[in-house]
Amino acid sequence: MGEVDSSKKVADRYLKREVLGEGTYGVVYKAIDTHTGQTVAIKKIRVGKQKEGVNVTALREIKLLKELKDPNIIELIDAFPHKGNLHLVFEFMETDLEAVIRNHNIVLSPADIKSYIQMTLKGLAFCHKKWVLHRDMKPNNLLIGPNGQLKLADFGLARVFGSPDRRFTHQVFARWYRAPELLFGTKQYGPGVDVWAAACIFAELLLRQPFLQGTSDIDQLGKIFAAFGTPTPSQWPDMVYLPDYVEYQYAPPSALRKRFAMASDDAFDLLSKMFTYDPKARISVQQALEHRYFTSAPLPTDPDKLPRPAPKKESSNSKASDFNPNEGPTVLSPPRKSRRVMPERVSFEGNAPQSDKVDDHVGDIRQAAGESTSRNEPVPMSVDFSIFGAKPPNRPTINSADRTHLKRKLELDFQQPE
Amino acid sequence: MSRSRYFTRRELERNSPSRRDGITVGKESKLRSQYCSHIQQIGQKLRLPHLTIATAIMLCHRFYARQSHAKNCWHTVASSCILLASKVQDTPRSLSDVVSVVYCREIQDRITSLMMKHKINPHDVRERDEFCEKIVKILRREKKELILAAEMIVLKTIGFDLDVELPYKALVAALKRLTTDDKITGLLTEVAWSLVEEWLKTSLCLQYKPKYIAVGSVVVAARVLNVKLPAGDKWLEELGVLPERLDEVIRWMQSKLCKVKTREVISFVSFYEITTRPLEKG
Repeated sequence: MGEVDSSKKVADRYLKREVLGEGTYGVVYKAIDTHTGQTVAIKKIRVGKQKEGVNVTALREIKLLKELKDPNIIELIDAFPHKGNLHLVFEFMETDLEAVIRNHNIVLSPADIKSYIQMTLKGLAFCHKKWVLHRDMKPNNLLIGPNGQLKLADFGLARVFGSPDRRFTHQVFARWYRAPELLFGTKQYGPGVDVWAAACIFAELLLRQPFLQGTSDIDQLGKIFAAFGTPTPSQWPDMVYLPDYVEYQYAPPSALRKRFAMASDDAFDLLSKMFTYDPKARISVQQALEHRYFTSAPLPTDPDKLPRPAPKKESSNSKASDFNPNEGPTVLSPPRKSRRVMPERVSFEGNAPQSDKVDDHVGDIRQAAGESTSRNEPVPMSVDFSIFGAKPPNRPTINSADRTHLKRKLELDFQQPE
Repeated sequence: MSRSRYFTRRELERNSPSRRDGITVGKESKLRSQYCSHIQQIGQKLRLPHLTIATAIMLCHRFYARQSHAKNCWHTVASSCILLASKVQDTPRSLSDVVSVVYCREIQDRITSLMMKHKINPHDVRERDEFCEKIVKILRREKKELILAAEMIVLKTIGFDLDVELPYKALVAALKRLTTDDKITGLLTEVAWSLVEEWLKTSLCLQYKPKYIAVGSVVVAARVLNVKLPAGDKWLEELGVLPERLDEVIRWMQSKLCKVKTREVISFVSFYEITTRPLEKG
């Protein structure tokens, strides 16, 4: 990281800062927009090496993001070619939902969970309204900005839907978030696939660990059926006609309500509706947003009050704070926050106890945070980790299985550079 | 990045970049129809769907609204627009396919002339094949690089604005709003559709939103076919079209129609023996 020339300019306008992460098709680094003083994330896509010219994924992302302007969708600020590379400029996001879920020092109250899932669904509803399927919904594609706003990112797999005859590949989504119809190889699917994935994220917020962790496509279906019971033809009439349909041994539904004991009745009702087997009967995103869960108490937490991983202090070679005028809308962090680079992530130990059941005093606890405790036991409160000088966390295991499968992993996963 | 997608007629006719290089309006429209038919031809050879071809044409229009023909050879630009549109519309064609379709004649000609120059005996099969293989490789690589360079320039010029709105959806909406009689609808659809196809090759789609082109085409088609349109502006309102702007579009269309008289429209119109009907404002 020290090698990065901190005053290097990209195409006259952006001052390059440290590298934030590296994906299969380019590097993401932080930069300062000298026109606005805004902190941005720039995704550099190598074009020269690609035999087919500009990457289709990148073009798709640019095209769709230009249409999708919404508070809950990442903003593409600029795109430009420079020295044979394509640069996409995004608003800078501090962290992502995966980091929040994995960080067991963060307590998520029912109202916090409601807020996160509401923002997720709002972003998704906007996509669907514009006839766009996201197709890669997972916690680490849900980025969280300096003001706590959650935004959908990574539209490299997204597609326009609407014409009924269009056939799509079913090889989308990270496996754990794949809807059953995709696992049965359907080529004609709709917004329901995003709803299923959103349901998985909802469950993950409640459980604080991925809900259905299949090790293969077959196993994924097994896990789904073990949780909800093998679907009967009356539940899902079209199932037997799906291309890769195979009969599964009957499994009765598990005691789901018990597993989600921490969820309110409304939350559990919405979750079950989002996890409906038949995509035609599955609740739509818009209907989900109108569910009484979102209007009943406790109301969703204000985004800027949501618990987030404590960001680490920025390293010395950065002068980001010099460029911090007062303009710059939603994206600009307040000076105090702007000096922080990346949130710490706590490595996820497979069987982390589900001890963070929340109660109504969460607010008080959060205030008392930072007072103590050893790092090894999960503390039911939000602690500023930077004071412990914590090591860069391990990559969560979530993607490793899907990486080869999806052949790529889009960046912005804010990996901590060594 | 947020450059406007639409231009005024004045911008296009008087101040276009090509005009600054001394290319007249007439010459530019000629070049425009040349690249359009090139895109159509290549697109069909690549078996690209109609929407992809239309997208490529639109991208090319956008490019030449901001760049001069004098400095950018339309053949290369149009070819790279095909590649780009195929990616954007999720109907990808490989770069090699595009290159071999676009440049097959040129590469063949180059080989023939090079063979003469290097005194290759065309009857010595082995010598000839070895030579051809080598040359084809080099030529193709050259062309690929050319197209990729053009792709980047196109992207930069159009400010990465790849979202292309086409008038077909609006056309269907307008037709649905107007008629319920199947017989009339069929005829009206065909004439309006071929008109829309014609406008795609003109600068009209750089000046007005697709709905104006669609509704305008329906109105013109209805006049040609003597189909009665609803009175008043209420139906226009429902389609989200401002009457004054639409009048502008229709006037433009009719002026073009009198001059150009596109083959499709004429064949249609004459088929139904209504050629004698004056196309002036009715």
